[in-house]
Amino acid sequence: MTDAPLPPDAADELASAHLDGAATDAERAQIEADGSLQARVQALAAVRAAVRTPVPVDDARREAALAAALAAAEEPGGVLAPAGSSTTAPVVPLAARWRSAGRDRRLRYLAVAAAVAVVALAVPVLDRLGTEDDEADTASVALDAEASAPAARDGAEESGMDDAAGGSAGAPTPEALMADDLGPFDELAALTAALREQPELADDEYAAPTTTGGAEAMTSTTLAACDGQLTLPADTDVLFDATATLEGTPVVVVVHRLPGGEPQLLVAAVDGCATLVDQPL
Amino acid sequence: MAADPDEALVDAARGGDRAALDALLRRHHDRIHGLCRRLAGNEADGLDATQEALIAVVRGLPRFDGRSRFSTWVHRVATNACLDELRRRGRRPVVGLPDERDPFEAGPLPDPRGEVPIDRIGERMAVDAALVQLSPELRAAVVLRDLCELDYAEIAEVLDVPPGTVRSRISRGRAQLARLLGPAPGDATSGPPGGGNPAGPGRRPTTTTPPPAAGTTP
Repeated sequence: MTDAPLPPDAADELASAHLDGAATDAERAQIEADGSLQARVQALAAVRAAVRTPVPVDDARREAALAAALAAAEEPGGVLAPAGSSTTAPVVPLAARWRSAGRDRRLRYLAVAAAVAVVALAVPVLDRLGTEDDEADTASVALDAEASAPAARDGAEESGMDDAAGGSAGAPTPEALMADDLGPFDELAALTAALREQPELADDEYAAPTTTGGAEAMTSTTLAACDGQLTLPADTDVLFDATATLEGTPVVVVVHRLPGGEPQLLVAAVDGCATLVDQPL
Repeated sequence: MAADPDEALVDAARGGDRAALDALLRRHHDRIHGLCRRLAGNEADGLDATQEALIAVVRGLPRFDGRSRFSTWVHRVATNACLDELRRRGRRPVVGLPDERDPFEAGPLPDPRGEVPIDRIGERMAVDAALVQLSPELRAAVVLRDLCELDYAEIAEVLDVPPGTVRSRISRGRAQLARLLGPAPGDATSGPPGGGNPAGPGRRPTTTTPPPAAGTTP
């Protein structure tokens, strides 16, 4: 042992190790023989006590953090994810999956778009003819469209789109029909029940919703906002997709199915595209 | 190594037992919060980092292999998540002023030992202000040791550095903190080697008795 003072860094390391009970016997003896080292140990002990000052936790914030963590555990692949949710299947961006949904589906969208265009053009023409029979036919067409697109109609009314439809009350415009919104639901069970009533799902065969306005619906602002953020297994079929409001939160609703599997419901928040539900329908 | 007290809960949680996962997270939450709060330097960022850390723990649980104690693994995941979160924000931690978001910093607390009130706000802010001056490496080492009370070997595992590096980082971190915290008002104790302050903020020097089994001997 030497009487020469230690360099500050070496003295600090010695004192710090002693404080932690990590000093060797020789180091301990060195400290006990040196008053300046003992003072340094005291100084570092004060620092340790200051860092140890308890950090209080608010109960509500603790519960919120725990709830968020548990919710994360329920996501696909999480330890609390529902049985059957895939953790190993290859995934592709949902938007990409929609884009690859197949030529038949795109043709269906185009057919629906053409039908809607015919209705929109026919209404003013029939109005001008002014015959009772023609008016009845027009009303019939419009009501058919309404019956299959109540939510779209609501959207059109709210945005004043009826005025833009040539003054034909109840005749949805192509723009209004583009938004396939299932409306508000107070709970997931109600949304699930509504989905089960969708003819596309009842037939167990995907058909484009008759109220959507065509291919634009696949690249609407709402769905495009989640492009690349939502994923589905690569070989899944999209059976149905729409928007809705679940417990006050605007959501994207997708029903898809792996080959030979049961329809699976995917619900994601429009804002942030976080997956809220991924479970069998 | 002694049996991991979390083992049963970990097994159950990994098997899909929600109650077990809840209990497991609840058991470690406050320590994670303390860690993130000290690393972040203020309550708001600390809360965000805590949530990110908990989510990281949950998502990483299927990959926990049991080679280390669960608590050590949790500290590792939480430390990385907290530092990542702070890094994402692209700035150094900011010391927060007490406000309505932090009901615990609403005023001085009485000294439970007597009639002299202790300014806990000032003390905590002083510690935060000093801690955020440290590099993340030193800050993490000091907080893991002094707040979380991990030993050197555990900290080495958490930070993925040799135990000797841990010892050095803790020492340098504490020495910097001693300088930054400055002399306590009215404290006439002379400064120690290295230019530090013999007492913390508003504190008298405390015991120098090494805690039993607090660390590893190099």
